[in-house]
Amino acid sequence: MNRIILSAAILIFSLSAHAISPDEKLKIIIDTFSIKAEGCKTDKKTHNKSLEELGDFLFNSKLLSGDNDTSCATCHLDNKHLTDGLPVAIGVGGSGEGDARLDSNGVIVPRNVFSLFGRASPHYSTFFWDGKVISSNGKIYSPIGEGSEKGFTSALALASVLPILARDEFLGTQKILFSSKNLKKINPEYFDDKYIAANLLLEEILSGSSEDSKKLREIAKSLGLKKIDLSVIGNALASFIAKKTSLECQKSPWEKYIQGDINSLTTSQKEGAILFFGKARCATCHSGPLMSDMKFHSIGVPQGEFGTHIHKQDIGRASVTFKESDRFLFRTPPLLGVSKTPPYGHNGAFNTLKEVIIFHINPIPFFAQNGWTSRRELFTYGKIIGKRSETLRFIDIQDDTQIDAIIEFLKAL
Amino acid sequence: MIRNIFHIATIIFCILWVTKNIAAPAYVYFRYSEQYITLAAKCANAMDESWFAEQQDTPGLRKSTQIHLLDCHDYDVTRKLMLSLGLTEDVLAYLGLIALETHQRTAEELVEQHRFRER
Repeated sequence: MNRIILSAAILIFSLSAHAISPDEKLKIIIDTFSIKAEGCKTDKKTHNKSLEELGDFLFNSKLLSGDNDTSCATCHLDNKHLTDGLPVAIGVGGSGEGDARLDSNGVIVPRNVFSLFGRASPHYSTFFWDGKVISSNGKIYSPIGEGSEKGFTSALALASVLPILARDEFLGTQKILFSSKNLKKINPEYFDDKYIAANLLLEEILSGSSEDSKKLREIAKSLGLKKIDLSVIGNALASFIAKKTSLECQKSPWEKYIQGDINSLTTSQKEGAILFFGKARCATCHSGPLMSDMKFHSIGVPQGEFGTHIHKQDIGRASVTFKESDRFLFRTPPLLGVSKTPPYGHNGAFNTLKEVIIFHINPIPFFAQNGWTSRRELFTYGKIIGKRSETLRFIDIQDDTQIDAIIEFLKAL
Repeated sequence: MIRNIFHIATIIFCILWVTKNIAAPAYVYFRYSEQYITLAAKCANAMDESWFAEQQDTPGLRKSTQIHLLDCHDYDVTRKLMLSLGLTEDVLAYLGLIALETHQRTAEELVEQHRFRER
């Protein structure tokens, strides 16, 4: 009898001894997903030290905007983790920063501004919400042609100049008379011709008499550059972005945890991580060092009143490929520093992390609370909801505590 | 006599010139621009939706897209009428932007949308 009791006690003891602790689970997760702490890693191709000064000047100068009212720094603010904090950007014609731009008469750029952190990473291969710039097998595919043939040293370099060629971001406000020469010369052109038109305009800008033109000439002279074309501008901007984001990049608590500091995450954050990589299925798409698979999916984000395509729609990836299978799909957003960059979604439809997480699980509460986000959505949302990712059907979250834990984990990224 | 004929010819020429270059385009603009915007929007939508629907390669969908594309017939007729009465391609392109709703919109509309959502 005593032997039986003793055996049972040993069995119970051994079972409890083998219960997996959160840290043990996370070790399994880190091994299973081959997770590495590489969020701050910089691709050498993006970074040319000699071009940093030029990039710094161009990033902060309004010289390249048609109406001299916009720079990269207008929408990528230091105090907003290099975003603007708005649902969608306010481009040309605007003034001020962040919320102040809502009071200006600026033009809406119907996409949410993304942070620049992580953009110089070797893992960052797909740029913009619709992936209009993609690096693959040593080539850089873009709306202005293959980039490496044009002298762009990285996809980031090419991605950096596309806003300069965009009507609502840099070229200028459309007027019946006296539109900017940037708008007149670049906007009507397509593909490679846009690149050629921009280079011709750059020659004019370089020979201009404004203070910024003079400064640009001085920098070019000091660097020994005989000409500054769009590829030089892109390479310089990429170098500056690489420098800025790598200097300011700090290892997140999650990365510290990956590297062995098990006290860098709270208990709740550990629970959130286990859910994130497990039954919440987040890591199915939010994977890799940047927490994005760099592929295209849909969660059925409501369209709102503004879009890049006709009739205020945003058809996402299909605006690049024109494939039905890509309609309403967007590139998985990386999650580094995500808690610092509200609002969320390609058009900033979600104000909080909780809102967007619940929308992944079930879109109905969002509409029940907010109603349709545009006057026509009652009739159009059917097209979008049908594109929601299959993966979302397997999310297995059961209460608010679990969502709160995931949010806590996201704060650690 | 010759002088009178010259005067009359000049007046007729001026009237015809003003009619062709100013009065007719102005009339056609005010008479047809709203109709043109509506028809252009319908046609653009038909072309866009048909482009995606036809990729499904479903016979039923294909037939329905052919019907949907009939929306472009009225658009074509109206466009040709407006051009023949002297309205320029530039004006039609501007009206087209409004029809497609891809013209520039200001931050004021964004603020309005949020007011709309908060109601």
